[in-house]
Amino acid sequence: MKRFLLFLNNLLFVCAIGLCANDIDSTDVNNQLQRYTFQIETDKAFVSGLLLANESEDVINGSMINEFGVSAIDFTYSKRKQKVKLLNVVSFLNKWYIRMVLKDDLKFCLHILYGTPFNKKHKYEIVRIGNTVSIINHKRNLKYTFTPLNTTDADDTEEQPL
Amino acid sequence: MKKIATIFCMLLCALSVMAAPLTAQQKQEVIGRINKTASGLKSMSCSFTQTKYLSLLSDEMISEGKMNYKQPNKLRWEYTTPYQYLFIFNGTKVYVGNESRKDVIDTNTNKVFKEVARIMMSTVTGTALSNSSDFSIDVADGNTQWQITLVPKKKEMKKMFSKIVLLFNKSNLMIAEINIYENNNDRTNIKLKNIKTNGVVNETLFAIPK
Repeated sequence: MKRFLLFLNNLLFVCAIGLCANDIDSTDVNNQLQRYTFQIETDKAFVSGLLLANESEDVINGSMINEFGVSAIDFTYSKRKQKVKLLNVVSFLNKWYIRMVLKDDLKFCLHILYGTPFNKKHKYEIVRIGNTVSIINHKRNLKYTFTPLNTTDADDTEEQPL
Repeated sequence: MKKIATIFCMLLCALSVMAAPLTAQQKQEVIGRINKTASGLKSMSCSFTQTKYLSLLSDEMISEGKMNYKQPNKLRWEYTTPYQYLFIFNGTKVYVGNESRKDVIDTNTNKVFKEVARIMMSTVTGTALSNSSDFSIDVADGNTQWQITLVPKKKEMKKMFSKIVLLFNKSNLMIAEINIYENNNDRTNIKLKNIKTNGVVNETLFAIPK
């Protein structure tokens, strides 16, 4: 009985440590969370949703979700390698030729939104209206539009700068 | 002795919040009762709070809105804060619109939207439990609520969601919460509040805006 209770005690202790570890992770990672509404338009269709991203010293991690909360794209940008890596892409966009365009376009979007380097010569057109920025890829007929999202959360009342 | 008592209490608490398993017959009974309530649902209006938990960012995104449903196939799902987004399904057409762009899709030519609207309605009302071609269903007893786990059967849905967990209040067999688990470890929780059933729902709410 004593051994069983000791086992239970250890189990609860391990669970408690696990919960604490999760807490530490979540506070550590949230360096600078920025929220935007986004829209990707083609001639015939559009996809809209939210871009949520946090920036740390080395990386920018981002999730693009639709308004219902369904994940479309998860990506990470390495500042050292100056590369975008797509981690998860929703099935209907998960084709090699779409991923290729997305990676290039996202890299340029991050350059505009976060000031990350972009050394290649580019042909994107940038249109700014108020705090909304549109990035147009004429070659692929794609238009990306980002607007900072004003959240009313008690812990997140600062307006996010573009 | 005090330590032992404390551990025992903690264990009891942990066990009490865990969903208890049911027999196959009990599960069928619960599903039958929820189905009966769902099929008697003529209309439903509520507000909701949606919390998206993002695993990559270890953060969450909270949004709020309103929902209206009218039998047999009308749904209005509207986000009001911190962004505006409107989804209307009126039986033959789907309208999606935000502040800058609006689209109307004819569901006779675009079956995907019809399917999306159908699954949204069946999940919110509880009729998803009667359609065994979409999900495999499990039921657990969660104290004051029935916990229904829907695991997608169809390939396209499997690519997006690992499971959907619905919580129904035992008192009135109405849905209270929806949890959507995605394959990338993200989760979306939708809590329904101020639910009004079988009241008068204005038909204009389902009119496609021009």
